[in-house]
Amino acid sequence: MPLGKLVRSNLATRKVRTALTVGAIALAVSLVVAVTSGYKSAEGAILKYLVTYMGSTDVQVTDKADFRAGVSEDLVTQIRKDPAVRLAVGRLETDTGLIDAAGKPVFGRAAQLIGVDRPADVDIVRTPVDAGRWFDTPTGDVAVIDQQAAEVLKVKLGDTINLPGLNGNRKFTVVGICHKPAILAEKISWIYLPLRTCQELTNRKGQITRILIQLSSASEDRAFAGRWEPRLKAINRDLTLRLARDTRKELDKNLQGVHYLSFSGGAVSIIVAAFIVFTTLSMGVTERQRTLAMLRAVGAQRTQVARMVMIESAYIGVAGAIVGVLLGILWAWILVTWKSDFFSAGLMIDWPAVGIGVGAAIVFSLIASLLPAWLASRVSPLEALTPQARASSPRLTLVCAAIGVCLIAIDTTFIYFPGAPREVRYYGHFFLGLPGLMIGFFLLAPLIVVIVEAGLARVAARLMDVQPRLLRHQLSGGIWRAAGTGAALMVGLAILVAMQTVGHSMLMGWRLPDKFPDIFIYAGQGLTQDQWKKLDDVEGIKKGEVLPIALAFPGLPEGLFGVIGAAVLPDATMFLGVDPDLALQMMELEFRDGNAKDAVEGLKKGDHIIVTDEFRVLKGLKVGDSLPLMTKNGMKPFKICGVIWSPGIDVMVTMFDMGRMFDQRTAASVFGSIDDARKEFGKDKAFLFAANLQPGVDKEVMLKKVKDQLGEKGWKAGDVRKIKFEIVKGFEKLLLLLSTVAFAAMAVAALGVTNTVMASVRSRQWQFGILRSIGVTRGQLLRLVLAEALLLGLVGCALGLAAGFLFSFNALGLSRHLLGYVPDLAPPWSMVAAGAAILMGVSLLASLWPAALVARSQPLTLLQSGRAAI
Amino acid sequence: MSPLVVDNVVKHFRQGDREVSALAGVSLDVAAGTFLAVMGASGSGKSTLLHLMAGLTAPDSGRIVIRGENLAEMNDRELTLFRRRHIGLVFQSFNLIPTLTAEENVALPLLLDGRSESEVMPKVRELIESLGLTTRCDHRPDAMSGGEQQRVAIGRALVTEPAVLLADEPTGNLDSSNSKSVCELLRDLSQIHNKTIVMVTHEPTVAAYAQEVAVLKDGRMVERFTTQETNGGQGLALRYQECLR
Repeated sequence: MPLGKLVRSNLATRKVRTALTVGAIALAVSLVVAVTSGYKSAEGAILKYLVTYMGSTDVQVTDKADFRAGVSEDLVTQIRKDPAVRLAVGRLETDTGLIDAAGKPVFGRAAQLIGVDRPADVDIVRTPVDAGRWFDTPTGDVAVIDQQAAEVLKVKLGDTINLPGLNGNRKFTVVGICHKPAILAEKISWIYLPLRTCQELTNRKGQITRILIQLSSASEDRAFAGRWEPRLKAINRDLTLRLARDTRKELDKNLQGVHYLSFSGGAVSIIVAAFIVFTTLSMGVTERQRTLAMLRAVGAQRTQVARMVMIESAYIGVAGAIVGVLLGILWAWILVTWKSDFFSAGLMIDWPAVGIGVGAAIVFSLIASLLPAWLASRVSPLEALTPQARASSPRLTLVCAAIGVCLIAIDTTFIYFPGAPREVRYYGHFFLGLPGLMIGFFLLAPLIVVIVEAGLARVAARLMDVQPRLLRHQLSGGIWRAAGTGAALMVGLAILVAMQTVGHSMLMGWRLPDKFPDIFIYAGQGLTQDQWKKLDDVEGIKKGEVLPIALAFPGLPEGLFGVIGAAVLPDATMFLGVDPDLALQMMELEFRDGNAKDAVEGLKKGDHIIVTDEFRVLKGLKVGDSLPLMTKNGMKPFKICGVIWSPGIDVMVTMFDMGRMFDQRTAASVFGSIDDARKEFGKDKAFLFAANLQPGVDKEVMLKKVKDQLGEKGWKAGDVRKIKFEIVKGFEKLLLLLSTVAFAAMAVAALGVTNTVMASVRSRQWQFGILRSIGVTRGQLLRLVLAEALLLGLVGCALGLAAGFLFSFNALGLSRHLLGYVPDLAPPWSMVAAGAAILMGVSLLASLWPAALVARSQPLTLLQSGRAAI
Repeated sequence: MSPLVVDNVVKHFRQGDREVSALAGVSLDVAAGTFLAVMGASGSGKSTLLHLMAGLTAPDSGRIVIRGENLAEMNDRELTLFRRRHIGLVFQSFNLIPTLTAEENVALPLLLDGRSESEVMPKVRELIESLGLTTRCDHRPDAMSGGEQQRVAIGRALVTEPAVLLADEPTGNLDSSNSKSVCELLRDLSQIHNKTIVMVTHEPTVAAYAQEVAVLKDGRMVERFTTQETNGGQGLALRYQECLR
């Protein structure tokens, strides 16, 4: 009881401080709860749609290499004959362009055309219809469109829409407007046609791209797969049979990254909150030194004193967690209610994440209490008898700094130590290096406080126009208090700097060769060899400068990249099949091993490839070595005839939504001949073309001419440099979005600054009272407190910048060993400066309230309350 | 056997490069029920002697024996428990826990010892009543006068029924009226309740309440006499001044 009572009375005595610390934990936990529950609600909306969309489908068959590639409808007939099958239907899915009422293409809006075999396809009617009904026949010029398409095309029920076909545009009557969840309909529109009509329109008679199968008993799915997989492989080795339960698993796996990300934001905030708990407890220990000493003098054991501090921390952690959970649920509820169309499945709380958030908050609070508890237990009972509290020892500061530097060095050592296995680097980085960095910089913080104070107190005083002597020892007087706050401020800036620097460096490493095609043209329905030759004749395209690129996704040998590869690198690569002469003529590739002439000769011979530098860095592959790839006839070695710095075509391909990037990630790409693409990987069609344009030719005008000459094939075109610019811009936006994690951390840290400045002000009320009595103005007092906050901000900046850059340096080192990608360190200085400025702003803003409070107080009040505090 | 024996105790401190001798072989035997005042000028070693007797610091040589147990032979944990159960400490600046009430402050050592509140409280209330603080039971230190706070501190020191009560300038922060009342309390504890008390003070008027006075000068005990010999405060002051010459 005495410990509990002491803890409770202590917390109750310092209500504002307790509230701010509980608030920091609550804010951090609420971020975990709100973000993970928001994510879960979004996932729920997707799953709800998938359940609706897939209905009772147990098995699906698609082409894994290209989901637009077709297969004969006969396959559906054969599958229907299987006794385990209750229902099997085929759908034809392909890209299309949208055409408005005036017959003009709608740019910037992708659409998917889906041919549905009605009335056999009963599951489609599960997709809710806002107006009209689903068509009931496999033929007829009718269409069901989703709500977004209706909005974009400005059509309603009974109106007609134009769709581009091989023989010109064709009109369809809208008989239904279906409703897709906003989360899916936002980027792409869906247009459903009767299957036969769709086949006619796209000139793919008798073809389907997806087979949906319902079994008599769902439990038979494995046996069914066992029977059909070999038969499908015999037709086309890319045909894949996927069970509904595996699809769900695959989706979960694909969304895992986002899930972890949603966790990480909150986790970072919890670390910041832990530093604030540490600061609060440290302040408590420092302020109560005499009380603790007296407790020791009257017989409290060291363990009892330490336990008291830890119980205090546990109370804060539990209270913060409870408030945080409630707050988080409230935020998630507001979000889901506000965007109810997007979160169509309603609010779904991620209870395991809530549990982890609560557990982490309590555990981190307890960890944060270890050092203050130890310091409290070391208080000598003699201090109860001495008039002045003991000052912190400079030796302890130096010892902590030395330990800190050793801990910080762990990560760098793991990553850069020559000859260490990649597994050691990877696991060492995550399990020892990162915690070492965090704790190391925290232990370094007291020394930084001393250095910043010694070096910059004068500058801060001058900036705030106060007497520099008054700032002396203001931070180092409560060194752990300042160090804890500095560490809390550090986390946000370090994350921002690391994210931005690593991201920026990665982008800067992507260099287009000086000589590179002007444009990429994408044909959604693919072109055969005869067709792509016609591209050469299109006006505006330079004759003889159209490079078809056949894409294949061959698997790599198992374990090529070892254990780590399995974790961070996929087991497939992107094979870019090109005409060797033309490719090397149109692209001036940067050879790291070999040369263009030999490479062309090798590719022409067949069974040769050019690999990107990642293969050389990671596996030491060089010209003359072999790399086995999974061809349609099994694993086959390809001889390497060149190693190049990747021009990033594989990255650009993702802009055209090719290669099913969502569920098939690829390692670095390889170049082979287009003949090999056909012979070894069965790629008869090319979907992507690189081309050079005549000077001054407009891309859209050229595309229209392409359409005129070759018909509608779901064309898209992108200027290479513009594509790169858009990818970079998109990536930078993503980086900024991810940086909200850092900004959230800074917001949590602001509570710590307020807390620290309040405590500092409280402990010096008497001093401030004297200053006011001898003529210091309110304004001067306010600026004095702000100058202290400025110094705190500078401590946070120094730590944050150092930690951020070191982390970036280590991350790029890790990239070399795990991805084989070795860009130079290229910090985005403007963003780094903005981050530091925001941190300083946060520090100053957070101290305004306590500064204003003390400035407004009467001198006598300050003197009286100061004496009471003594 | 005397409850408190100080045997040839030596203690040095370092002040920068200099080594300062705080106590240079002090011996003292305090019989049960004795109220002893230790006097001396600033730097004479009187506070150091009290710290040694409380087990708050260890002598360089010599022994401190309380209830027959040598403090130097105890480790930190044993010493803490011994202090909790057998030594009562009263500080100049009261050192009450500001967040606890008078009653809770008094009960603290017993509660720290793991005793239940129901077991402790009757005894605590009785003690508070005997200290004349019944009406202040539920008050926190900041709502009490200095004298009341020091009475609470004395109550806290007595609650474990210690072998010795050590008081470090207990009237140093009090006005004359409160100072008198605290001194009378200490005298009564010794005379009526047979408590062994050692009090450090530099005030002859305060020391006059004790039965005996020990005078320290430059880390040595220069004289020990009974207050009866001095015939009141003024006589004691004269005798004290003579000792210091």
